Amino acid sequence: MEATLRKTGALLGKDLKDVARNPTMLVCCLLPVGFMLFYRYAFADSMGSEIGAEGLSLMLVSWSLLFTTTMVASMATLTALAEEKEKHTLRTLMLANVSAEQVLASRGLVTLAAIAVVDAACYLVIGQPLEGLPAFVAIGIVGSVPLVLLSLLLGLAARDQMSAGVLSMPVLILGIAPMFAQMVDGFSEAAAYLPTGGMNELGLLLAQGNLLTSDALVPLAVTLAWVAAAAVAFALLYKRLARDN
Amino acid sequence: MAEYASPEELVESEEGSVHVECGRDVSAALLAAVRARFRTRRLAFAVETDRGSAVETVSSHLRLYSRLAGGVHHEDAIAHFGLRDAAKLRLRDASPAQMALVNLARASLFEPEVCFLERPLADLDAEGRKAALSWIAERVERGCRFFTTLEPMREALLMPGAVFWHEDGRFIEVEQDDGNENGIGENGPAFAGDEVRVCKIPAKTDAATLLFDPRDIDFAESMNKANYVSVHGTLYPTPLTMDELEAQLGRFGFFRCHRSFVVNVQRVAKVERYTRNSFNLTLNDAAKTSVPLAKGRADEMRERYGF
Repeated sequence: MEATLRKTGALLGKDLKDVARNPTMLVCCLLPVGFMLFYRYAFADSMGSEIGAEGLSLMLVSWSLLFTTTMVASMATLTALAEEKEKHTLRTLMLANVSAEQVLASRGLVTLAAIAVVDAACYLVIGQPLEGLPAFVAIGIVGSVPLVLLSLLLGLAARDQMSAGVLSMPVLILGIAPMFAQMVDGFSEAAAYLPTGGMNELGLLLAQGNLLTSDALVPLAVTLAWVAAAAVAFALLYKRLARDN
Repeated sequence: MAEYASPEELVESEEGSVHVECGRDVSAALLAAVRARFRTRRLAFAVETDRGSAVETVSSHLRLYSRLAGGVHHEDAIAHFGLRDAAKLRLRDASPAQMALVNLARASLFEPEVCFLERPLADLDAEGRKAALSWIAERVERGCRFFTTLEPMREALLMPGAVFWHEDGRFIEVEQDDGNENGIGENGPAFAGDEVRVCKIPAKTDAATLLFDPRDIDFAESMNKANYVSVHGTLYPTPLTMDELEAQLGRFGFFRCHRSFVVNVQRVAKVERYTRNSFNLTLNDAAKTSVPLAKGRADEMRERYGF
């Protein structure tokens, strides 16, 4: 147990440094914050006149959650794992008596930590009330778990960074689908049941001040169902993918 | 001489440390066999293509693995493998020799019971080889079992343990000195001071037979059932047997330092002893080549040449 904690601690330190030192990962963590700054200040007038101040505020809350989850999950998990495989650093770790579980746990936890930080930064940038920050970050973390687990599996399946680029497309599409649903008639109902749909709905309820109402039960159930489904799929597949790749 | 039909058989054998001259595919198969067989033991691996993360420094890379291993402090490994000056160097900027030492230093952090090394001496200079061989010898004395894959055979013969070469899917043991043999050097023609005789050593190329002046030869080596002479860093196949080479070259200051080697003593720059049973001659040729000195021949060399 002591050895497991020591190894996982060492891996967490390495992966955290990786997020800060790897330019690709750093840019992907900063992009959602940059987008929110841009939308809030550059588009506020034109979009605000169309959808109103409250509509703009809700849209930015929704986009903050969706952008952060998809960009950070795909880059800090999928591409990072693929890069480690391509440069043989993952093999070196596995040959150093480190288990696949420890590598994946560290990568997953660091990704969720990065998502929490980026979510918090986005929330502050879009000017939402400070008291809602803890709930917003919690929604962001729990709602991101399905995509992070999917990205871990795809990262194991990717042979190199080029194939990771192809494999990250489903993560991106699936992740930001609720955003498009707002623009496509007839799709908005279904979007609430997508992997990030529940998280998106909970974020909107928080912004409207209705998070602690019965309206939150369905999106919360959807989110937890996706977390459970992703966890089962992960448990079934990761060993085989780790062994084969 | 022992023979094994597969990497798994070789790994299962009762041989101690095993060093194999082989290509990359066989090396990968041997790595997998070692990993499967010794899963429950304290293992360490160093593979030639290990490059670490490009943004890490030598020091941070070894610090991470020191924490993972929970054994040797990374500063001790940095000191032993002569990496102090490179400690702050990013791994992407490390030379092949530095990277090879980093990989060995990383393996040393685990204080392994079983260790697999792929081409550990390939890129190392004389100092690097000394650091690597002294660590390997020290670990062997503590009971560690090494599996190494190397090219050429000369590097395998520098290692403590049994040496094999791979051919047609089989691992064939190389006969080594037991220290009790009386070679031709002892009973053959004695060194005759300034006696002058014409002597040329024939060697073959694709189109011609070359005749080398013995003074140009750094050493002669037996490898995979063929014999070679090394001249200015290039190995040329020669039709002479090792006994014939020893007999002819003996009067020009050559010494049979190992069953598979005859060395030009004039070229020897350093005699090193890592453990009771591990000797190594470093030559002052262009590549600072290391050749093994068999334990049983070390005394004879000391008597004959006074060192």
